[in-house]
Amino acid sequence: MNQGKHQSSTDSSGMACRVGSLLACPALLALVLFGAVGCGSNSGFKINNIDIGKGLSTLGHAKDALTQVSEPEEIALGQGIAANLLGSAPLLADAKVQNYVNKVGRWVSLHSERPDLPWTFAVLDDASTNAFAAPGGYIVITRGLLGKLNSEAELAGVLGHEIAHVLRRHHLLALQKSSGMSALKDGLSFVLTAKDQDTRFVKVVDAGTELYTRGLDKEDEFESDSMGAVLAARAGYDPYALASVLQTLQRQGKDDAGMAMLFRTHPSMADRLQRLEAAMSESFERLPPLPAIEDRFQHQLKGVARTGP
Amino acid sequence: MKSAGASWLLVLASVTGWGQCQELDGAGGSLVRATDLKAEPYTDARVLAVLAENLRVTVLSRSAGWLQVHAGDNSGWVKMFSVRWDSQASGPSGDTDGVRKLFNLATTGSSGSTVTTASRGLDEAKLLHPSPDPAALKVMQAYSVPASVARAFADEQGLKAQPLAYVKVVGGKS
Repeated sequence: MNQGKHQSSTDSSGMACRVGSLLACPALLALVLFGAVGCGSNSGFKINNIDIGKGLSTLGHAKDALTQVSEPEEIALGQGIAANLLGSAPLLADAKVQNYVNKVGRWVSLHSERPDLPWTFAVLDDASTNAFAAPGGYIVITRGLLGKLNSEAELAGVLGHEIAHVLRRHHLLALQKSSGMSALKDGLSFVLTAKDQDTRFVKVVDAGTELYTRGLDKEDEFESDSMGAVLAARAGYDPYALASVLQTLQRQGKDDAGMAMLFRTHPSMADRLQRLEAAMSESFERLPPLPAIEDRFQHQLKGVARTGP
Repeated sequence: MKSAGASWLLVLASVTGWGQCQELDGAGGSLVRATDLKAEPYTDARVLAVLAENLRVTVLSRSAGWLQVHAGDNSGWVKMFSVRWDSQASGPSGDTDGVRKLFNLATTGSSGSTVTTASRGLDEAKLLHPSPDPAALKVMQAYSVPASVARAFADEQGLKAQPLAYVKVVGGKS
């Protein structure tokens, strides 16, 4: 019944951009902007030595492995997992900050290959340092992590990392790996018939929540760092801001109790920075200087101290 | 002593509001590899010195992918990925980021740095035995903004979309 709503974006690995939303399709935008310039390459799909065609087929590959889960199922699973996250820590009671984080996140998501997911962001009123992505576009960041950031570009980089987990369906892949495709499908098949209290669905949702305590595949984390930096840059932000966040966390170290879970469930900051450096090669250096936007960030977050314990 | 060119750049950055330059307030680190020290934060800027691997540096600020550092008698810019930061574990000194103070982050009652299982805030136990809050999910969903609002928000600061393809992660899976 509700199935058609998000269907249009199901195949959005980049090729299926609608003409009216150029911004939502950076690859196409790149072709439009640079296609006529002639980049000294004999391939029409090579821009600044980046093979866009290859990037797109890589994206398509992950999706093919998961065609058995429909987008409405993915979204329903994400809503269930988000409800669990919200049961573990309350929403920050500050509509201005919640609204601000949603605007930054939504803007970044518009530069992804799945711009039409129901992207929704929230700040949890929690002192730990972490951020979580749930399938379908539900993303939360803790007040603790937000408080360690220095600019809107850093926030964009962090949200870009989480958005990438959703884009590449990393959690679905992990669930499939741990519980098997049939169990995943079995649980999800009940959600679209409005039986979301069905124990089989709850089981899959809880398995999806438990994933946060074990962490994702390390390669998926590296990939999300790389994609997060690209997404932030596409949105017009200083793309080095994500690396700056990782360096902040490296500086503050793993002795911080509030960072224990983050450090336990992710590759080391040194490894992440090394891989991010490799990913942020010459194509990033060719970008014009892009803003970090510190003033608006500081201004929007000013009231938060009064609400936190 | 930074070059006149770098100073000019900093002034330009602040005047135009393109506040890329982040003050880092003298935190320390060391170089992960032998590194060119540049006069300005650009790839083709003049090389002032070649700094040795493991050399200690004091970091002053960041501009895009570059950190402004003091290293011995030298000052200049190195690629940000060349620096491995010292861990400032449980040290309140140097904790001067403005926003962090605003958040009044709980540092817990204990002064020690020992991590106990009773960690503060959201932890594994709460995720292993979840209790969903569907009402909070509804509130969260109400905060979602349409694309048009996000575009207007980006326009406010003159954010300009950039064409950039995803990069294949080196050593990653296919």
